[in-house]
Amino acid sequence: MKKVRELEALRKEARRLAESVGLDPTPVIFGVVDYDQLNEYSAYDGFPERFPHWSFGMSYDYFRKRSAYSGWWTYELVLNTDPAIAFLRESNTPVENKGVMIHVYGHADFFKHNRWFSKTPKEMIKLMHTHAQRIEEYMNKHGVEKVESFMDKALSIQYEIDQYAPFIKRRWQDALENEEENKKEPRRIPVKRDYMERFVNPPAWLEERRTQLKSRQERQSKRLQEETELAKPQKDLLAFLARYGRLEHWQKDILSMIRDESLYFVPQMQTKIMNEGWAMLWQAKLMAEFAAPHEFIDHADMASKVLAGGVANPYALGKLIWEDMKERWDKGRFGREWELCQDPEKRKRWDTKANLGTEKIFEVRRNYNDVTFLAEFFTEELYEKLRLFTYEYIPETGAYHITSRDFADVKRKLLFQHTNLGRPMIKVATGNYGNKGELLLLHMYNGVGLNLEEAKEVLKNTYFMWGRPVNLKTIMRRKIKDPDPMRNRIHPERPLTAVYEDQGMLLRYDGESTRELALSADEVKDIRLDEDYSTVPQEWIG
Amino acid sequence: MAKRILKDLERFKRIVRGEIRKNLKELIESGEIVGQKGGNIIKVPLKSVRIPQFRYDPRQAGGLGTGEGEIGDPVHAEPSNDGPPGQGPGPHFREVEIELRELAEILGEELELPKIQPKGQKQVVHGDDEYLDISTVGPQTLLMKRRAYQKGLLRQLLMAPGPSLPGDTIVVTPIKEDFRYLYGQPSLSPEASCVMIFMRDASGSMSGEKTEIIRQENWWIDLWLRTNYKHVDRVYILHDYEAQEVKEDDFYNLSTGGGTRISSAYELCDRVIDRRYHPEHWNIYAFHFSDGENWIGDTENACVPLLEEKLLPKTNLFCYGQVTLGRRSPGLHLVKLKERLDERENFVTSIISSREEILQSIKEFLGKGR
Repeated sequence: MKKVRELEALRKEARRLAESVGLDPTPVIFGVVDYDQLNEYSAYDGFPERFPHWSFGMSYDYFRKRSAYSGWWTYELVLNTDPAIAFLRESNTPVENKGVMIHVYGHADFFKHNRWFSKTPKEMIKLMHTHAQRIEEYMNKHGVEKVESFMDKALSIQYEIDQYAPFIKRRWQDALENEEENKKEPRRIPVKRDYMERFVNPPAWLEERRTQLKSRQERQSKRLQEETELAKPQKDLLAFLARYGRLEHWQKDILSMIRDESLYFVPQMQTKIMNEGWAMLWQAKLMAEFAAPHEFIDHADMASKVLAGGVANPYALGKLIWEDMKERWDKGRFGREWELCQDPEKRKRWDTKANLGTEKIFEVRRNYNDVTFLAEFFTEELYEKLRLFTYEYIPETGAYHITSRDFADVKRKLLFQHTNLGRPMIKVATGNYGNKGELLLLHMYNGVGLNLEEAKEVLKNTYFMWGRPVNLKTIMRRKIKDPDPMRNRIHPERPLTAVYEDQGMLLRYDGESTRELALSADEVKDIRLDEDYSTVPQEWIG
Repeated sequence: MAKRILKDLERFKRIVRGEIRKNLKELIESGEIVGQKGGNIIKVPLKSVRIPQFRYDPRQAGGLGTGEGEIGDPVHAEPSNDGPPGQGPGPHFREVEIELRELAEILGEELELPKIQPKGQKQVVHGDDEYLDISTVGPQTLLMKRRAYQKGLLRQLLMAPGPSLPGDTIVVTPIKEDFRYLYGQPSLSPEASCVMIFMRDASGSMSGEKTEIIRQENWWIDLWLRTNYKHVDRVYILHDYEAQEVKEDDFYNLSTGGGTRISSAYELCDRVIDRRYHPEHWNIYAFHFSDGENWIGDTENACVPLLEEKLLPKTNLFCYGQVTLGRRSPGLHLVKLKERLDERENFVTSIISSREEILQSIKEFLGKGR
């Protein structure tokens, strides 16, 4: 009891501090859990409950081994619900609790005010519970193996969604729309006595209604087929299959549950750098006051662990950008004059006492996501501070090599890693490819190819859900000329690589085998995006 | 009702076990597991335990690094388990991690290996230091570095306020009074201990693939024994005409050009046991690998008596593996040993003519449960 009172006092103080600097977090419920529960919730992405699937067991095993063998533990865990729910490790020291609390209030403020979270259901904890129960019921009804095997397939397209779907309304994405019942027999009027049957439900009448039902179903299936011929390619394969796949009702239900869960996680994936950076920014600022003098070194120690790893660490990168932004707007380092100023000395001393930093960062936390955040605020000055470089894999040497230290290259790479959640973009072109009811998917090619082996596995899973052959249009790189070793005489340290050419390809799975069919440049015109993320220097090629 | 997560875990483990059992032969043949150094965790590449998704080819995606280096320099950038940022909640796996103990269990199940019964009262009192206290003096190895720097920083800040500008750095130099050491006493407990004595013919004909096969096989034998005993010692003996005790790395890497006299290794093995591993206290396992060729007369005149009178009475198990590539005909050494010693319970032989036979050979060696 004493401990709870102490924690409550800390919580109140943390909230007061957060509000004192203008944060406006949702209420937060803190739960105290032991390390094993913390590992459990970490495996469930923060939730106390998820649907039964072995992949959570795999995550749990991973977290358990980390905490057992390297003393590593999940630093903070917070759910975007209202009120938000967060967890404190039972064995936390008071200063660790203070740090986590401030951090959590940072997230709770971000969840509440960032635009990309505005459509997220705030009662996800209940939905997760319902999903778990529904899938468990299906397992009881259809058998664990059967349901699990279907979920393995469904999870392989769990992120084939449209992250903007909650902001747009499209007819066919409403997977759980009322479907006409797929029954062969018309409904009878219930009778109490058997001998009444032929008077209440005369056979001729039943026959007539049977014909009606059949023609209605035919019309409907024709309509569905027409609908699958999309006017233009769309994302959201998951919704498409949930609507039009040759699946049973429970299977479609599972697809739409998985989609809802993915859509819940998407805003967090889209704002990881901003959100973690935001929490670290306020943690660093407020802990100066919140931590007792004797606790400060421990807090610095803990923070340095969380921030380790440089640019790959969203906590560190985010915090750095927020701090830089605050300073720039405080000193008036923005706008036309600043952009045009070329004198480094002048830039260094630039300070118009504009004092707009706080206002600016609160505005940005409302309206941006990671891509726009990086595009606009990852500046050349920051890049210089971080001493970043890009690297690429060179097949000829079998190693990764530093390819560029140019700001433009670095930024391009950084944006690539965060565009479309860091995943290749797959669109549904039509469900009636070749007028044979086949599915055609498009990989929108930006210069970086697919992991083909994996893609073939996904196609097999998609075939199972679509029920007819599936096709994927993509582009891969084909070697056309080996490098000339003579070119290496002057710069022997320089890795040489072959000349590659784009080769259009149709991957096709028809239920029996996967085939790769070559496509001409003209046939893949529609999937080639005007983007290129390779940073291999020209002089290494050929 | 059991906790959901435990059910998920159990389900996951069952899948992994099934997959490893199914692929055990390939895993052993490919040698992908052998050679992972240190730790209690082994990484097993199991494609089928991963949910496939549309992802970029990591080799085409490149990446970002930070720090020193010229353009063109190679960088260490193995794709990690965590994957590129923004791929979704939860860790992302390219391999399955498995504890050594679990892997040994799977090996045991798959090969139907009997549990080892340590023979007799063999228990060695073994002490592990337990550090329960902190002292201001102690050996360098027990110095608590983090604490020293924390104390140092605190002391420096108290003596002279450090730089106040953010971004400035403080150089902390701990002095003697900042040092703290772990302090503890050994706690003694009885444990079943075992020593594995690996012997190998190092003459020229034994190089390359043959040595690789021995390395693979020994790793799995080692895995099984070390998870059956709490305390494990290892001895490596190389021989040609003469025998010599070597380190583990040298054991697999050295080769010589001399002739072969196997009894030299058996003699040395016997001396090592007498000097360091008294059979009263140790469970002794000896493994000898060669291609079956030996100095004329050495097998019957020297090796057999040595085994009969000295080594077999002292060891739990003596295994001889004949490694010949591509042919399964027993070499003379094997034939003669079998002739004379086949009756002995703790003597096992095996012929390994390719990687595919490693698994079978392990089963022959360890299948006796001794």
